[in-house]
Amino acid sequence: MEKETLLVRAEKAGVIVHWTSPARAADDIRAFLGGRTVCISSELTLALTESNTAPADAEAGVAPAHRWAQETATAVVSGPDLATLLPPVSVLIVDGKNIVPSFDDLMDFIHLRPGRWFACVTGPSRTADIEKVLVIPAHGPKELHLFVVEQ
Amino acid sequence: MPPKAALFIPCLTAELEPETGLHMADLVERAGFEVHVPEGQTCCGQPWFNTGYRKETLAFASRFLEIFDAAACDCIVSPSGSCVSMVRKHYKELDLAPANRQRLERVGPRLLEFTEFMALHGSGLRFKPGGPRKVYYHPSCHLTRELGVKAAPLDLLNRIEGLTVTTDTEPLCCGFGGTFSVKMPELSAAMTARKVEQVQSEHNPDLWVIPDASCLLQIHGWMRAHGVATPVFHLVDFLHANL
Amino acid sequence: MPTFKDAIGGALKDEVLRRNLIKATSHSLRLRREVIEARYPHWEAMREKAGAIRKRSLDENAALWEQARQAIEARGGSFAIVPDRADVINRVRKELAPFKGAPVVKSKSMVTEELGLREELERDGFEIYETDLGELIVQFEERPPSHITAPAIHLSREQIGRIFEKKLNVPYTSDPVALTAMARRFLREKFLVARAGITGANFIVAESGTLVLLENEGNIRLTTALPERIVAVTGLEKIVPTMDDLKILLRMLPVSATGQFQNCYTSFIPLGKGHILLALDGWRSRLLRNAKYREILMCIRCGACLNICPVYGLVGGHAYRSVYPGPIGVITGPFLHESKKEELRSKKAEEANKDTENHGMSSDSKLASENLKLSSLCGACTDICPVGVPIHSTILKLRADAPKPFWEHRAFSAGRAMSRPSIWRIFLGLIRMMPSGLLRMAARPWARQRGPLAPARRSFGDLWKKKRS
Repeated sequence: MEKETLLVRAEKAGVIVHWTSPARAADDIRAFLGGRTVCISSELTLALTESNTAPADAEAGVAPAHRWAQETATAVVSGPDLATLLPPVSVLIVDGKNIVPSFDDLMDFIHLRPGRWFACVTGPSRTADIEKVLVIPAHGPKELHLFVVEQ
Repeated sequence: MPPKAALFIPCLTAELEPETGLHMADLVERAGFEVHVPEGQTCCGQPWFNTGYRKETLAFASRFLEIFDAAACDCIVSPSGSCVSMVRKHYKELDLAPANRQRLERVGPRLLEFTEFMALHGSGLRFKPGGPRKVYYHPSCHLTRELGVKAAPLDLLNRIEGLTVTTDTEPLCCGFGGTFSVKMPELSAAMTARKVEQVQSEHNPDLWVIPDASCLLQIHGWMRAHGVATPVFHLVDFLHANL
Repeated sequence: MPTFKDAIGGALKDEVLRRNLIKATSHSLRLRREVIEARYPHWEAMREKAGAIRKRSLDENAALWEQARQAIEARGGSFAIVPDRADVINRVRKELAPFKGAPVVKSKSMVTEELGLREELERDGFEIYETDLGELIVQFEERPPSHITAPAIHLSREQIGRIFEKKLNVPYTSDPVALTAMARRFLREKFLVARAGITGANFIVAESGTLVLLENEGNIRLTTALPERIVAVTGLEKIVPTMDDLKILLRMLPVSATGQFQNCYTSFIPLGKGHILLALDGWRSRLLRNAKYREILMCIRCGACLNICPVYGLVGGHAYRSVYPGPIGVITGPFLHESKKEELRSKKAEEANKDTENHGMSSDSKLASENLKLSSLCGACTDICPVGVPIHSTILKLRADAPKPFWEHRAFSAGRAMSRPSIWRIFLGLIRMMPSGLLRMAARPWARQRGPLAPARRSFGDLWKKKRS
């Protein structure tokens, strides 16, 4: 994984990248969240001590990204995971070893897991339906933050 | 013995701007070819074909193929991408008689649009400096998209010293479309208006150069009717003037 | 339904429309070009691959759907290929019936536009909301979408502001950010209580029975993740063989549709319990059997041909008076069933075996034949199509196969004589002899916009003879 490429592509897609380690992850995320109410995805293995708010009410949602493709700055999340969809701030956590070079790798990942509902996420939600003017957000999150966890 | 070139003069050129045909003949001669104009040319039949009258197009295709197959020549040259693409790409879609099908096999490969000819044979021609002027080259749809001729016309123009040559990033149709201009006159003219507006504002050229008589007719006509004074030339006429 | 003349004439007079269209289409084209130049130097090779995939989708259509069916039913989902409009509408009505009384959320689907599904269900008393912003806008405007991927492209921000002011009871604003936020608030409320969602499909992956949906807004994810029941409606042509095929298609579609390297959200939904997929046949399998025209079904609904078409760019989608506008709409039109009447008529024709090998055309739709005139045959559409649908050559073929106006046919038939040099000379000679006033009058339709049209004094043939003597 080349940090430079990942950063550049992520920035282009409107994703804010945070680097952290397994030891510091929980603290770094707490620091980032500040006092925001948070919806914690049921799929999250990382232990966060924040109390869990319902996704429709939370100011932020934290969820795992199962894979991250450097090429397109695309995360694979669980499709129905409302923590990635309803709160205006979306935090995705990816393990460094789950970062793959190409968008094609994500297709392979999904292909190997038939029967599971996934969503590929590239940046915060947006629309250009009014005069092609880019507006962020549309119906989904307004901000997308990626925490990369690696040694 | 110099090689022989037969000239295929499009009907629009022959009847509306015949000087262009003479100029092309001159240029082809200067490229070292003996020029011959087969008699009895009429029309390639494209208006009939484009409007959906394929059976009726056969009369024109037959005529064309008979004349040009009989013409003893090394190549056939025409100053029109639309006519050349009609013959090379669309005649084979017609229900040709076997004899005509064979003629097409002989004639097709020998048929060249003018800039194709110049790319192959015209490297010896010298042009006098033409600048400093900004020239907009209109990439006629048939020439550019059907025949895939993109670089040759620009290369030719770039051989004239002092010219700044610009063209479309994405070729934009002039709006002629053959019978389209007659069946949908308002829409056709609106397309030309948009084209002229876009080119004038984006490039602001000193003159336009157009490789096809149909586009020329449409664009030049529109400009004159709407008081746009920028000169417009057929590519052949422009090159000839700069010999 | 306006006449052809009124539809086009009216559009050409609409300055606001023209400004909106040119701005929006140029913008999309520019973004597309930038991505291709930056990321896909091998775009042409990709087009070939994509075309091959789409050809397989058509060649193996029945077998692929069978594969999908098995996968879907194994997971407890429902699947059916539905023969016609009435059938689909009935089935959807039935599926949604238990959920009447709560809002139904709907994501963008051109197939459902074809069916007029929302309007039918609204008549039955369902409360349905389009959730794609552009579709919501045209739902409020009470007009069909005017573009395949940008439904409200014909409207300016001021016009949209007025629509929201009226329909949402909010203070007028033309600020796209504020307007989008209003739509977000309005629909978020509906999303949270909806118990059923209607969606279309970008692709169905045959090997796994996966529904693939592309978007930027998040409305499709919300439409499919929140409600307990999903009804997906699509067309027979939307199936693709494998996930591997998506490696190409999911690159080409966002680039071609919106000029994006990647769109914001792509959902991969393994259809199963709680889901029903209805694949509409209608006119599609007839076209599939039509060797001459079946390539039309390769289309992946990106809308690029609309963006680049110089005709579309001037008149906009509504001028085509058909669910699919632009170049792809022009070639699909002759095969489409726009109404129940047309569907019945073409069924009858097929049964009576009146259909000849190159047809499958939906009866003799006057509208579709008229729309064939909406092309200067510039070929830009064919060039831009990411899967290689031969759009403008199909327009040419359709012009040959479509019924001809009587007098035009007589004129072109008689005009054949012009292929003979003697007749040609006589005809041109006569024109040259015409008094200039008469000539001006005859050329007036041309001359009105393009100045005088008159033959040169001597034709090339004469000049050449003179030169050589």
